[in-house]
Amino acid sequence: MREGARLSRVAMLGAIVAAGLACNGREPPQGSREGGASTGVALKLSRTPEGQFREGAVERIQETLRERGLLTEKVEPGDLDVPTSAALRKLQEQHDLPLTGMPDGATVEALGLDPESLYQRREIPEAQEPQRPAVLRETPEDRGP
Amino acid sequence: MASTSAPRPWYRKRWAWLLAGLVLVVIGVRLALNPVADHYTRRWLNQFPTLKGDYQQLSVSLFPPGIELHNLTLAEQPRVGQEPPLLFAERVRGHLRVGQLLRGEFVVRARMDAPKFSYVVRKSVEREVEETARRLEEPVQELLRLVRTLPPLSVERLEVRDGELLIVEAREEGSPSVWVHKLEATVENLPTSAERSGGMPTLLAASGTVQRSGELSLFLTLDPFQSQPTFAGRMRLAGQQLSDFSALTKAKADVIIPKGEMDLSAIFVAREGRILGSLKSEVKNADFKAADEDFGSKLKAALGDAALSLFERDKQGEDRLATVVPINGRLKSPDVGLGAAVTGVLRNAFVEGIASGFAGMVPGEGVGGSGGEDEQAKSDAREGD
Repeated sequence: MREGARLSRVAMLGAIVAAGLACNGREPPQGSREGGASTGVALKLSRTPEGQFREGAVERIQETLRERGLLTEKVEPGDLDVPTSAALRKLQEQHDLPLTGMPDGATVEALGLDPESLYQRREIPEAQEPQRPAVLRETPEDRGP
Repeated sequence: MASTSAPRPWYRKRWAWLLAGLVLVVIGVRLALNPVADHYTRRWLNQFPTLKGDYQQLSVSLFPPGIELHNLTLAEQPRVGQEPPLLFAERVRGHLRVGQLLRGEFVVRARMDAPKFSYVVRKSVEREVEETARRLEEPVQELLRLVRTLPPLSVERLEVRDGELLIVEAREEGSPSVWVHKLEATVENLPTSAERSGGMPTLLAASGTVQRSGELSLFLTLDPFQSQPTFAGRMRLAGQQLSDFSALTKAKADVIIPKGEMDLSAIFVAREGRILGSLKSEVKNADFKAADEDFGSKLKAALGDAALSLFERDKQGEDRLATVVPINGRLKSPDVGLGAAVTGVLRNAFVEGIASGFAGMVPGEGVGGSGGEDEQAKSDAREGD
């Protein structure tokens, strides 16, 4: 009997801890960036899907599509053109992904490539101090084809 | 003679009790989860006087931790007649990624199957949008408050499969509509804090069919943590048969376009209240009377978003025969939200695309060609500098 009571207490404690971990009623601290406050640090925006990738990344996607037999037509290297988009759609259909024809993270993963190594990223400093936006001008790769 | 003690029966062993207890707890939690989640979800969906939600079935899973709703309906209140709800989705599901959960990170993946978004315009577009924004303000604020009480999380990926968007112009005879279907979309990297963005913007990719013919593709990058709407992207519409819009153009500008095809491409960036980019549209083989000179302005007045001024050139009276129109505008109100700004830019670009396509059209002859892309790139490069 004593074993059972101890066990139930352990189980209850476990459940309370798990529930607490799952939904601790934490309010964001003052000045935190949570909830949509401005970071002051501009992220790298791009007007074209190609502009979001590192140099050579789109070519790697095209090569992999070709290796898998999904891309047979001649394409412009580095350009997510109509044949490349059609090949991406075929891949997305095979993997039950939305048929956007664009190389989103899950599509890149389905190709066996690591999205982390393909996307461009910008360092976000830990400091809470607002900073001047780092980039206000478009870079050449933003301009697309 | 050594005595051998008999092995203890299983029920005397501590591990057996622990295991049995754990199994009971899991079964108990599993059995209680669905009704508890159902109760709180229904209560949450029905707490607002301006928006009501309902669904047929809810189920919660433990591995991976997630939730699934069937036949979800969200409708503005009070509902008018047989008006379709704002959203009906056959299935909505979301789950936490187990790998990240074990590392103490809350990362969500979600998917909507066959969602139908419907919007009925009964008053002026501005007033209608304003009223909807007012109706949705409380639920949105409540949702944001709820999110803030949760540990920092990020939506790694939201998928939309086989969606539809229907905009019904109920003010006009016959209620002409714009219908986007076969809508496939992904939204990636949507965190609740900038630190969790990983230095990457939120990415949106979508494709769909407009009316019966137009192939739409959309790519957007968004920075949701700037105080003013900050986004960049590209919209393309190819092979759009203009006759698909006959009911709408007849109602709005008293013009019927029995044939013709339009291609449209717009690229844009919005930052610090300014919008730059370019728009290219081609109208081919349209049967259109040149006497309808004010067709474009009528259409823009009827369908455009007055909160956004994308084409300052209009005011300067510059030549509009060019196939590539620079976008150079401003958000008129500093209070405009990110969603309203994005939809406003897309809407105005679409309306301007039709209007400028006709402005530059020689009847019966296609405009532009392979050189158009180069022209657009050059124009875009100028705008970017």
